[in-house]
Amino acid sequence: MNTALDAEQSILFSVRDLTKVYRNDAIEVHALRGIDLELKTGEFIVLLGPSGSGKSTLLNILGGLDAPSGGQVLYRGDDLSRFNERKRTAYRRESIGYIFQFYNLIPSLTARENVALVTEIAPSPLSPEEALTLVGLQNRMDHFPSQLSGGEQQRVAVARAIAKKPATLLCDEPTGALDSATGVIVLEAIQKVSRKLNTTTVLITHNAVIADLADRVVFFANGKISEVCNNTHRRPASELIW
Amino acid sequence: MHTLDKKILNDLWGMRGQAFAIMLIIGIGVAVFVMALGTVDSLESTRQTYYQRYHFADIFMSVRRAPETLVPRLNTIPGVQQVSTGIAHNVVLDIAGIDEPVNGLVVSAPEHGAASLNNLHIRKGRMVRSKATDEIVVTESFANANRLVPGSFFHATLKGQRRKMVVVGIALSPEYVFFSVPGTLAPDDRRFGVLWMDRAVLAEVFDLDGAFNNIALNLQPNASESNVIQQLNRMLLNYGGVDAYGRSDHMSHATLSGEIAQLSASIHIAAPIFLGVIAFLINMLMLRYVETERQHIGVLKAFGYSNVQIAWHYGKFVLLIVTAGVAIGIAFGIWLGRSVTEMYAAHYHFPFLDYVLSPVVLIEAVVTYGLAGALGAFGNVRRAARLEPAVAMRPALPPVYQSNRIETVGLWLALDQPTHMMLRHIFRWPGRSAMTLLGIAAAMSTFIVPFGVSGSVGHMIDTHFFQAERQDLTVSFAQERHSNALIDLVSYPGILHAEGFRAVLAKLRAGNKARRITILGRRPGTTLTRPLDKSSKPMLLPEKGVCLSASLAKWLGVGVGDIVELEFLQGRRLTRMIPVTAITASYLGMTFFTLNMDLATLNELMIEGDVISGANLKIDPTEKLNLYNKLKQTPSITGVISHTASLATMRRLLQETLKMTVVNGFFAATIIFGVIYNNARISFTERRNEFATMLMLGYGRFEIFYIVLSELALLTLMATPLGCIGGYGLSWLLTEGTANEIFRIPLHLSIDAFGIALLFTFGSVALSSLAILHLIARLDIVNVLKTNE
Repeated sequence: MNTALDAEQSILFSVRDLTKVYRNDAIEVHALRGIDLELKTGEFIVLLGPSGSGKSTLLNILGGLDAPSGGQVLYRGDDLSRFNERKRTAYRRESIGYIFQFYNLIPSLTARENVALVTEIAPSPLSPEEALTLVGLQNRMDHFPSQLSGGEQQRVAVARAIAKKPATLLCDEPTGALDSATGVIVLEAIQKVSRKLNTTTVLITHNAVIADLADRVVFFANGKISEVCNNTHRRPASELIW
Repeated sequence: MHTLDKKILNDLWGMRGQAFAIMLIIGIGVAVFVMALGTVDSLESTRQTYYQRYHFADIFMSVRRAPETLVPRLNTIPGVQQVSTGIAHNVVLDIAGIDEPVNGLVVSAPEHGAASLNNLHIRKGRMVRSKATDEIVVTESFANANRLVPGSFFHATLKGQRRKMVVVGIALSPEYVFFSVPGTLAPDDRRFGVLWMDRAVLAEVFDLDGAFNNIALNLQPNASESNVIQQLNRMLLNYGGVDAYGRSDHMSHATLSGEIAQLSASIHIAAPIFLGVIAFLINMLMLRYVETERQHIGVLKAFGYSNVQIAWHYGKFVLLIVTAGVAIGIAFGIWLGRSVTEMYAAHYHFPFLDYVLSPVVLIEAVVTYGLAGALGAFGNVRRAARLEPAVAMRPALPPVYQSNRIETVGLWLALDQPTHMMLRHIFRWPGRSAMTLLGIAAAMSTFIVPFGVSGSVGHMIDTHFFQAERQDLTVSFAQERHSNALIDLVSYPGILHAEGFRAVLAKLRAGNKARRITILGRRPGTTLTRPLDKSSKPMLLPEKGVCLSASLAKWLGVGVGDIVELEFLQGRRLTRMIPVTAITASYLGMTFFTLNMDLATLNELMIEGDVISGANLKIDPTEKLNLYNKLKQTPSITGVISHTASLATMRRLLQETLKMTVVNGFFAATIIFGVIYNNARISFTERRNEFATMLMLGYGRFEIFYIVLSELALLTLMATPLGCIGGYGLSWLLTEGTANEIFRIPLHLSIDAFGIALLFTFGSVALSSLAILHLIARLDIVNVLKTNE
């Protein structure tokens, strides 16, 4: 098991002087004020910080859901900000797995079909069954979201995110809507699959305890990175209590 | 303004596209309603005033010749208020610019100073002078069609004498609002005119000095029409009286009443469709609005707003849309009603126009469309009012889906997930999907109807001119002649073939029902004119018995094998019992009033020789001018109908119908687009989160577009057969529902009508989808996914 970062690990994302300004009529909101960051293959990063500090904005830009106002985001050497609509769609389709606080499952599809939604369009995915087995839902595959608990729904979301074997897994408050026991189960699933698939994982949380999962913890304040801590003692998710 | 009212206005602005579409449909519905009922009221009121002012008679009768000295006796019939006698005769006219002979009805002008009936309204010029032998007053429609003005002249053959006739006046008469030559399908103003001449002059020409051949009566209030008719018939029997009749049998009055009734009936069929579509659209809009407003409802209730206040708040939203739609509709409807009434008044040549719009019509419009709006809004407003604040403030729970039966089909697994999403969405809300389906079907039906109406008219024209009546000319004789007359006729220049017929007026009775009809006697196996069977195919005349049109048979309640009573109103006035041996096709009024019979059988029943009253002719077109000249100078011929000219008139009429088809088609297309666009818009808004999620997962916008489009296309496809059946049914209702016993156009819906409706429906799907594609392209994934949080 590789817990420490090797110097030779390739750089997946290279973020340079990244800014994001939202304009709404006369009001300008500076969500990111010059971020520099590098993310390496297989690295587990936790972003911590108060609401509005810019964590989600960074995650959305990394995920190809939003475009930066200034600076550069290089993904394997390609500048994301120069991607057109078609390339961004292909990028999301092939390289990014996304997990949100509110699962965002399609209510009209079963667990298996929600995962198949991704595997049908990804180039070399896991089968929906494999992905669901990885998150421990092999017995709930034909249930609809409304028939699953919150934790189970989030694990379907995890399975859906990793089924395409993405290079990057982006998690925005994945345990925000769950109690601690369920949250731990979901984090276990995330940790397990990211290791197994050697996925670069970026996880946003308000919960400092979760930072113990990370190789690196990046602290945000006011649209900037205020501190970066390397975590030498990563803990398995099962040991976390909050 | 109350803050909440500002919110309503802002919300309305946010949904302006849909709200405007609904407003427009309400507007069109109300406009058509107000227009049609306003026009019906105005035409009825104008007609009534016209009749009163110009003393339109109540009872009419023709006699062969009766002395003027009878008049005082006729005046003593109980219930009679006024008697007016006159002279009327069919003549053939020769008008410069028209090759073929023109038919005229020459009538004695109402006498100077005397209080008479069926008075004239002089539009231009003056009345004829007493004893003026060459002066005439003509109907305005005839004058307009032939560009006649006071001072114009033409020739006429009156009892064998060719006379010059100078137009001195142009007039309107309540008796001839609508008038056509018997045997033609529609009035032809160019080839048929009524002319008034001085009575003394006519009396001299037709040998009716001190006598009359035409009589009109007015009744006292509450007098019995049938009693007066009975007495009149008895008193004039010996003078060749041909069965008196009331207004309901008067051609002009019956046609006018029929058209007004048709207008009134068509709106009563169209209105419920509009109302249904409006209730459906408002329901869809409110469903979505209340859903997006959940959290606001929660907050408002938490602040202390009562259920009633919430209901009123959301009710106002609908009220605004409906009020605006009704206001637009009423304004547009009044304008349209006035224009349409003016159009009709000009068409009927009313001397004045009495535009009335009863407040009752406006109240009806407000109440019915208000109710449709309330019906559409009720369920959703109630849902808003009943929401518990705590529940309302939480985001709505995701809808619960379950596997359904179609998923056991093997094909299901072969379908991709977007298709699963689309199908499950349809089956998750079967009621709503069914409503959408019905909405599309209803809209499609309304689109088919105008094509059904114009198609039926076209088909009827084709049937009449190319199946039943294929002659070039029909000539009528002044009186019956031996069938040898045909030999004389074919010696005329240009006549290739002649087939004689005999037309006899008779009274037909079955059970307690009776009708004045014309019996048309022909030889079996005629080729120019042929009776048509019920499926409009030519048939052979049975040797015995009579053939009734399907509509007449239905009205009398008789069928093949039943015995009917025929009282001939000509000749020896015999009464015969005779079996019905065949049923013929019925279209328009003509076939209703015409009975077919073998010529020999007819003459035998009347105990008369081998006589005919006219002939149908096939002519050589290169010789037609010579023939026309000959006919114009033949005293024994008093009527000539050119079927080529009749066909042209009917085609022109069809063109008019087609114009209305385009207007109606536009209205229907608005409904189709409104229904489909609203549905697509709501389907999109409801599932914005799902679509944003799919974009996040790496789906392209066209793949999401597929879900919206395929759902819409599938529902539309399922609605298509229903729409077609509905369109057929509605067209049937409109042709049968507006048909009275006399006027009936058999429904003929060509496949084209369905094709065009399909094209428009799927065109609306495509157009609505493009609008949705635009929304998908503008979908802000981050924002949408954030709103979930």
